[in-house]
Amino acid sequence: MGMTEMSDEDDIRLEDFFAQARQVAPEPAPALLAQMALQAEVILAERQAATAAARAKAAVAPRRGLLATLAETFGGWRALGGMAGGMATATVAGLWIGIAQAPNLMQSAGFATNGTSTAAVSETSSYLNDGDILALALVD
Amino acid sequence: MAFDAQSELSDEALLVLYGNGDGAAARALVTRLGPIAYRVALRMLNDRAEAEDLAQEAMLRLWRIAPDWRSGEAKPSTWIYRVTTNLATDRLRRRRGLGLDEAPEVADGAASALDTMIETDRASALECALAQLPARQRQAVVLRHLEGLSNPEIAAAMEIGVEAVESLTARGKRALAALLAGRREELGYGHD
Repeated sequence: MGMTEMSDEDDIRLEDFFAQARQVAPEPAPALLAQMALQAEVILAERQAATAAARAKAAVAPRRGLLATLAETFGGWRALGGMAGGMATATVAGLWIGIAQAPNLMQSAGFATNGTSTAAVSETSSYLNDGDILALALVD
Repeated sequence: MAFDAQSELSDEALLVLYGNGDGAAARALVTRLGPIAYRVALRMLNDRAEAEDLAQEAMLRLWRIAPDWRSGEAKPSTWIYRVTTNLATDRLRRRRGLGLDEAPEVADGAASALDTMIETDRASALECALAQLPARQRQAVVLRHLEGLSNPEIAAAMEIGVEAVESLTARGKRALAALLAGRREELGYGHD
């Protein structure tokens, strides 16, 4: 009989071998299963430690990261300082323009024809004398 | 979660639980999949110490892959069959130094030992005959006829088509039948 053929008799006989082998299936030693479970615990502990370390790092990183990102976005810490000064200058300049223009605006809006309004403008202007206004304008 | 409460859960559910940090789920998986890994490893390698080592390696890989396990792709048991038989095949290849489908080589001593065992212990005789099959044939025969997997399950475990599984098991069975019937000349290495 060649390798390409297999008789029914061979098949039945072979099945007897398989059946007996299935009945005496090898069982692992309890120590092996315990070792497998221990490995699972070790891997789990490693993973949890790595996760905890990553969380701790992430908890610190955003505070530094946010400030650093802002600094980088606006060109560094010096730029942030300069920007703060610039903003103060712009604010004071706006205040100055507002105060300086207020009488003109009110006059051009027709308030100057009214004696009370003119007095009110004078009163507003009197809150800041010329020296204070100049000082504000020079603040950088 | 208590061990008893997990007895109704699927292997996959247990693996996901373990991946999420539940150590008890791993112990339940050990009782289900550990014996499979060991049994298959032993039947492939026919060496108890080596089978224990290989089964641990397969389970270790399962623990490592657990957090990334993708539901619905494969059953954990199929995964264990695949990893265990692949690891065993690698070891057999190194042991033999042969290609996967090259003809089996039987030492004279092994052949005569087989003749003795056929008469006394069929299970041992089958183990001895299995050890003489090419690795892939042995893998297919073990999964089909000793583990009782279906051909599609074997195809998934071996990552081949069902037809290839049928071919491997058929060739493996023919070789086994010849070996166990004392017709080794049919395999190209008859008695001296």
